[in-house]
Amino acid sequence: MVNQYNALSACLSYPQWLEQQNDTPLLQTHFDDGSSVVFSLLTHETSMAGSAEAETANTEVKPT
Amino acid sequence: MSDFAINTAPFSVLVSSRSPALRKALAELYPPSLLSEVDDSTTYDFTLDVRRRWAGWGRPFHVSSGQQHFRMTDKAQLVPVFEWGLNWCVASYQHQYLAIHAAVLERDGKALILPAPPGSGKSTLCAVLMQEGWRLLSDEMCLIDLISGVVWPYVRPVSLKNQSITLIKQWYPDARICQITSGTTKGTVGYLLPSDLSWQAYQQPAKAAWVVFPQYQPEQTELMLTPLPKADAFMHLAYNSFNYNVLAEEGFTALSALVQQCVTYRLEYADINQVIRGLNALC
Repeated sequence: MVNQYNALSACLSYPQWLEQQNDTPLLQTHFDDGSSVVFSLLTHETSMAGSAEAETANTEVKPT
Repeated sequence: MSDFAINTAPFSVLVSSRSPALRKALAELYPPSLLSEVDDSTTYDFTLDVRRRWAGWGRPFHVSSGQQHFRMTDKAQLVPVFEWGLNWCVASYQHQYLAIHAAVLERDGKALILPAPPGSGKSTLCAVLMQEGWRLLSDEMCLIDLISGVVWPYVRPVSLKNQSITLIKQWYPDARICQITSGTTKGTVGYLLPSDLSWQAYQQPAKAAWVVFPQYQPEQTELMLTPLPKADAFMHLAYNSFNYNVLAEEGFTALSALVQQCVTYRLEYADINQVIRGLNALC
């Protein structure tokens, strides 16, 4: 039922991703298991914080 | 025969169609109380147009909403295309919820969310759990309230495909599977009717408690229910969402709250009985 475009893609390490954000305001959620995700208010990208190979989500899922 | 309404909470849908066959087929899938005549005083969430057009070979049905065309179909495949059209409308336009492509079931007020891409066995697993007494909220759409965080039901027949139809009939001979259509883009499709419990509570939300990412692995001998870091679960839920990108900050906040309150797992399985025991043990 769905096609998924531009889904999760491993592209940048978290430090690289963070560097790209420059002074963009970020939201961060710290989960109770110690893991964390960060959201850019400017680009609307989401990244897992701290991982060597961060995954960024900028998803568009379309039903067909 | 004239237009009619289908009130599958949380959405009221105006179906603009002159096809007696469609309404008759839907009467087999939905309780009579949910199918009604159009009420001029009601504001419908969206309209689904299902009409024959003069243009085109064999005068196919065109399924559309407003100015947006969804798909053409012949009469033989009208029911599955209509059902997919409903999903398309919700996924495309109903952004008052964070919508995730997932099955949702409930037990003791707690919701189990099963996000998965097509082909992962999600619908079969959903059908089995419903037959085993879990309440169905949806086999396709997890609708998360952006304010309260609860999961709203969107109860509709469970879409089974190909060998899943045979398996469910074999495991549960009393299961009611209707409107079996072959030759669709997904092969043979049939609709398992929701349990009475599911229909009775079709407007009752549940609090999310577990997120489990299932994957059918034929070579697996033992069930693997492995804790998944919440950040990973978050990213995969975002990946499986229809409108995370549309909701932006609001989506991030709602999904963060959902993941924080849930226990998250990856599930790899081959034996359905092991799955039933494993998931029942969560409660």
